[in-house]
Amino acid sequence: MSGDDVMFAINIPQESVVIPETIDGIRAALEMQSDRLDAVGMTNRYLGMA
Amino acid sequence: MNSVKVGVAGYGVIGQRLADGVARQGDMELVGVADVAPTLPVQALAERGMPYRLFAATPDSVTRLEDAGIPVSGGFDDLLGEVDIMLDAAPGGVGAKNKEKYVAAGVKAVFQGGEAGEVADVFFHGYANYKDGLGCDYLKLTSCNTTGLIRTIDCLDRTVGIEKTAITIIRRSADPGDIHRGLVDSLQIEAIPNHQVVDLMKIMPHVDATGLLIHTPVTHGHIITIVATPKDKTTKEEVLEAFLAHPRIRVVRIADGFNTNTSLFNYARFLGHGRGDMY
Repeated sequence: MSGDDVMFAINIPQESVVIPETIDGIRAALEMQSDRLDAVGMTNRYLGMA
Repeated sequence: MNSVKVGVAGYGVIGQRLADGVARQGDMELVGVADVAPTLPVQALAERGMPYRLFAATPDSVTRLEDAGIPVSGGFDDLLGEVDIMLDAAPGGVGAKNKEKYVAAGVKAVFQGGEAGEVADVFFHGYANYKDGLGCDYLKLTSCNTTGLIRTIDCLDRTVGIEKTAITIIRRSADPGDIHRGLVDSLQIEAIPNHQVVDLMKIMPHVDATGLLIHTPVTHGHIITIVATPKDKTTKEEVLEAFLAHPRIRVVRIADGFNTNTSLFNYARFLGHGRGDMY
């Protein structure tokens, strides 16, 4: 923490990080799920992400 | 319910991973991929026994592909005729040309971050603004850095609220195997603000964001440092708890050996992940 601010660092695996959100995009465009958490949850489930 | 039919344009660094990711979705079917040449990813596809059909993205690429022993299942229009939606992972600029074909074929598409903004109806991030993409014909994804960055800012925003953030992106200057950017030995700083924070503010307009970007001569992953001001007072423990609970954020400790960008790339390989990838 820096006063009330939080500081952190993240690593971005540039070749693969966009895959889950792109699949979310399919779900949104084709209205496969209308709820945000249902959609990302389905993508996560099939990609083996907890 | 029938599977949604998906095609991928451009079987490169991103396209090959999109194909595998879609193939893992039980409610989607990867119909085929399109490319113009027998590049290494295309050669690997053939050597793997063509798990996906390959379509020639341009008429003149058929001979080039077949001469290299790559089976071609048809032309770009044939692929478009079979799909509900295309994932466009073609080089920047090519996507805009492909869009004309998508429009003509009445096919929806998701473009990657490298394509110019006007190509899509909405700038999209699954966690931050899913609703904005509902029913849209053409979506554009945020770039790799922006996608990862928004996962964390959106995560904290939904727990403690985020008023403002300032970031530094330490950017890998090329992907493994790229030499078109030359063999470099210097740090190059971009004009402030970097496009990633500008893009973040388009998707999360209530957050005031700024930041630097520095190109560094490495290949295996960017690092972003982030300072964020929460609306509600919070603690390190509460922040860690939020990140630990998020399915697309992996929390690691420097003390456990995760002290370089390459440590995460290596760890994914040690876990046996395909291509040494982490999502």
